[in-house]
Amino acid sequence: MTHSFQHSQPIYTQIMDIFYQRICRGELGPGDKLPSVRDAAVEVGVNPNTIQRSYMEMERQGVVETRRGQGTFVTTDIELLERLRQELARNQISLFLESMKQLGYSPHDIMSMIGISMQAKEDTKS
Amino acid sequence: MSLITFEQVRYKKVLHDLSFSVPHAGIIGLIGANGSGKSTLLHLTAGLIRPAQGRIYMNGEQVGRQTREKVAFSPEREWLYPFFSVRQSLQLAAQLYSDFQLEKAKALTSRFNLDADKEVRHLSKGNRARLQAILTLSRAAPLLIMDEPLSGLDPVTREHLLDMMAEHTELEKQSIIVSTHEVAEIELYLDHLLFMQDGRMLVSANVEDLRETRGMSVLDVMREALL
Repeated sequence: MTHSFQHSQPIYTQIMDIFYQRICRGELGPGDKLPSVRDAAVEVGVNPNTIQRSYMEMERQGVVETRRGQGTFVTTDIELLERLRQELARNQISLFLESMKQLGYSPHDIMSMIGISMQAKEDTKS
Repeated sequence: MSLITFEQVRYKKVLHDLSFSVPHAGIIGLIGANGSGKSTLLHLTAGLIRPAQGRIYMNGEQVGRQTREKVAFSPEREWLYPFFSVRQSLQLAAQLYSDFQLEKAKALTSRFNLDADKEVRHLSKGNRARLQAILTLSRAAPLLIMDEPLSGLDPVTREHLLDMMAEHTELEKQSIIVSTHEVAEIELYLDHLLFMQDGRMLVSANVEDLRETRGMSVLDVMREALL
């Protein structure tokens, strides 16, 4: 798997984003083991120290836990994972709303445009 | 204690009064155009040549004869014996270097599908580069130095070599310095950037710090340094 990183932003936070997305999608479930630091470094194509730092930061946020000699695991605290997911969704929505505001759309316009886009997507599916 | 410190180092007409330090261990990229002094700097760090003036320290110890065995140095030119097989090349390294980890080297050669019985001269250029990297990465020395390991190789081999360095340098106890003039492909692997031009060190910085505190990529910083 290859990722395109924003080279002017810290890489470790971008790696956290990748893992948080996998966790929110359920690809990595509660209690699942994360790849070893080295395996993740090779998979993503970055420095192992960078992966180490993102694991430490995810651990500080309570999303993963490291068990000595066993590896790093997603927390089994399902409430915390749900809060994480909602927080990430809120971040995405506010980013989206901000860009739409920059384009001069009112909240009402945005709501109806979302409705139309969702409908169009449904139609192409069926 | 810094990994590497140069204090007012002068060497021939290449380096004049060069001072810088690399504070922490990790993967260090030495970037610069041809002729900027990269190779000279690496030879000085390895203790293979002596500065005309100034001092060089590695982990607090002044670089000299006694620090040489703490550095695994891979020069830019190919240094394998063409008439040796892959296996004989590993055996020779094991005899030459007391810190050579033969089992690690064997595991890496089979992992990268290098036929142990094949003679070096019959390997592809990419596989010769892989073997050379394996011989360096299999040493337990605290500092590994690779001078232009990527030059003249195809993109797939270059990526292989970078992955190999990231995976098999034992970063808990080893550091590695890699010189190159290609920034883009090495950027994500680096802890520390050294950027040289005309024998001067224009940038010596931790790359995640650059991104975090200044919102700049390695390329941004190099561009700024050249202005």
